[in-house]
Amino acid sequence: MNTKSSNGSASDEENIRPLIRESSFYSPEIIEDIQVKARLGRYRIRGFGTLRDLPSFKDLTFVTSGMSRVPLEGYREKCFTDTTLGTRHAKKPLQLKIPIMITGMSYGALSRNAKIALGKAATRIGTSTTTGDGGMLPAEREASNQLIYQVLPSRYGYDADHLRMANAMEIVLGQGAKPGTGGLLLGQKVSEEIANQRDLPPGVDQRSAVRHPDWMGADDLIIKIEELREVTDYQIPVIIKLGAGRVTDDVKLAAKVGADIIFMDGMEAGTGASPEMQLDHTGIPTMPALVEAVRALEELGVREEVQLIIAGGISSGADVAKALALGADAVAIGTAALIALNCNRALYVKDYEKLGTKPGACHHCHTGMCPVGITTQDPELMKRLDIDEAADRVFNYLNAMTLEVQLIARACGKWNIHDLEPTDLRALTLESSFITGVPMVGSNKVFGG
Amino acid sequence: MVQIDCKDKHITEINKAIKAGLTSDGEVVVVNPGSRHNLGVGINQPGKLTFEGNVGYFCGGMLKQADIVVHGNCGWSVGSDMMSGSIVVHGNASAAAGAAIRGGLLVVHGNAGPRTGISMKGGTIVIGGNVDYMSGFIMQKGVFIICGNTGEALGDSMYQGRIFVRGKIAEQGNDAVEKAMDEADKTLLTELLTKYQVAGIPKPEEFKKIVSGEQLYNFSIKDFELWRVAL
Repeated sequence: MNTKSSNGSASDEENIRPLIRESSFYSPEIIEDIQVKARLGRYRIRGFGTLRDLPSFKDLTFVTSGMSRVPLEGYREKCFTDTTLGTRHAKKPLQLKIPIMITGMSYGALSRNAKIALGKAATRIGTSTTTGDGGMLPAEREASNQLIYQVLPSRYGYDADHLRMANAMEIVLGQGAKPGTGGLLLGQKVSEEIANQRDLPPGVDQRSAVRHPDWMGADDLIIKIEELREVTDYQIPVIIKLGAGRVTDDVKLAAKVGADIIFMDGMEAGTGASPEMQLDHTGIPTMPALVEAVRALEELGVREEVQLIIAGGISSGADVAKALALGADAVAIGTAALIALNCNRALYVKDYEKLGTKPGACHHCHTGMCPVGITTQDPELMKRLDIDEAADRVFNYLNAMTLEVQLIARACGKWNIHDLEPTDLRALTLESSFITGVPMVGSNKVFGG
Repeated sequence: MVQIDCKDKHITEINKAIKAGLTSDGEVVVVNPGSRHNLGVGINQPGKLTFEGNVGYFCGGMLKQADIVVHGNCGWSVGSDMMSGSIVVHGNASAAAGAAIRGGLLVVHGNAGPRTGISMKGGTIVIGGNVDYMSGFIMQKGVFIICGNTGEALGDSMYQGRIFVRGKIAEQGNDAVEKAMDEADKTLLTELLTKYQVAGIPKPEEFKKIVSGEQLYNFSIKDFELWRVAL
C-alpha cells in the first residue's frame, strides 16, 4: 500500500526506501528454484550432499586434561587406534588399523581410477573400502585388502563368488543422502561398460530399486541373513546400513535380526545423484542419529555386542574423535575422501565453468562431466586422475585425520582413541546439549536434562 | 547317490552334506526337508539335487551350475540371485520366485506368488500356472513365461527382456507394452514348454508377448503423465 503525504504525492520515506529489496520468503534462491522446475517439469537432481546448516559435531568441544586429569605426551606415548568390528557372530571380524573407513560408492558413480585409488590408500593405512551399486570391480578387490561387499536392493552385478571374496558384507537398507529411495545414475554415466555390469541398456537414466527384491520385513531379513551366512560359511561380519530416519526403531530391529555391525548414515552424507529436495529435507543429521543409535543399542542391552559405524559429513579428526566419544566404534567417509582425491580442486577451471560452477562449489557429480576425473565414465576425463598420486593424497588425509584423533585423545589423557567418552565433551549450544546429553559450557548442566 | 535326512539337523549341517554329496556322488536326494529355509543355498558345482517335500525361503539361492528339483512347494524367493543351473518345482512357489536371477532356469509347474521374476537380469523363468501382482517388476533381461493369468502391474518399469503370457493379464505395468511375437519367440516357447512338459504343452500362438515400451529410459517432459507415476 502506498503511503501518501498530505498533498497526495509519495512520501519522502517511500522515495528513499531502496528500490531493490529481496523477499525473505521468495529469496533469489527460491525464485531460481521455481523457475528451473518450471522449465524441467521434474524435481532437480544433483550430487554432493545437503547444503543446509545442521546440528553437527562442530557444536561440541573437548574438555582436555589439566589439574584434574593427566594428559599423555603427544610425541612419545602410545595412543592406540586399532579397531575391530564384527565380533558378535563372524569368525573373522574386520581388523582395521584406524577407525576411519571408506564408505560404499559405486563403480559407475565413481570412475575406475577413483575406485582403485581409494582401495590403494585404504590398504596402505590399514582400513577398508566398500563396493556399491553395480557390484565388485575386480581391480578394486585387488587394490583393497579389506573390501566390504554391499548387498543392495538393485542386485546389479551381484555374484555369490564376489560375496565370498569379501571381508564383510553390508546389507544396504538406505543411505543418508536420500533415505527411503534407491540409487540414481543418470544416462550420461551409464556407459557401455557400466551398462554391461548392471545388465542395463547403455544411456538409460537408471533408478535403482529401494526395496530388496527377495525379502520384505524384519522377519524375512533374519532368514536372508542366515542365507548370506550359509553362503559365506559364517566367516565374515554382517553390516546393516541404514539411512538415518526412524533411528531408534531401525537400530533395534537391525540388532535383533542379527547384525554384527550397524552402519548409520546421517543426513549430511554424500551422493553421486539425488533429488535435491531429498538432500535437504529428509533424514536425521549425523550427530543426533549417532546419539539415538547408541541409546537404542543400550536399551536393548547389546551395546558391547553390536558395533556401530557412523557416517555423514565427517571431514576432520575432530569429527572422528567426537563421534567416538559419543559412542561410535568407527566412522566412514565418502565425500571427504573424494575431496582428498581432488574433488573441487582448482584444476581445469574452464571445465568447471562449462558446468556453470567453480572449484569449491561444484556438486555436479550427476552430470558425469567431473573436471578432475573422479565422478565420470568419460575416458578422457578419467585420465586426469593419476591413480598413485590420488592414492597418496587419500593416504595422507587419512593419516592426518588419525593423527588429529590421537592428538585429542592424548590431550584427554587416553591411551586408546576408543576410550574417548561423553564426559570428555561439552556442548557449545543449547541445542547440541539437548540432543547429546552433554553438559553446556559455562553451566556444566545438560540443557533439558 | 547320497541321501540326506533333514530331521534333527542344523541347516549348516544339511548344506555342508549337500555340497559334499554333490562332490562325491554328483547326485543328492534330501528327504524330510520340512519347509526349512535356506536349503541348498550358494551351490557352485555341477550335480543333481532333489528335495522330496516342501522347502522354505531362498531354496537354491545364489545357485551356480547344479540342477535342483523340488517335489513339493516352495517358500519365498526360490532361486533368488541364481546365475546358472536350474531349479524345477513340481508344486507352487510363494512370493518373489526367481527374484533378481542373472542366469539359469527356474520352472514352477504350479502357481507362483506376487513379484515373481522381480528385478530379473537374465535367465529364464517358466510358470505353469498363475502369477500375482508386480511380477516382472523392473525386469532387465531374460525370458519370463507365464502359462496362466497374471496379477496387476505385470512388467512394470521393465527395461528389457521378454514376458510371454497365455492367460489373462489383470493389468500391464507402467511402460509394459504388447508386441507381436516373431518366429524366434515361437521356437523358444515350443522348446521350453515341450522340454519341461509344462501345463499340457500349450501352443506358442496362445501367448501374448510383453516388452518394454522404452519410454522410461530417459526423462522427457512430454511424457509427464508416465513419469509422474515412475519418477
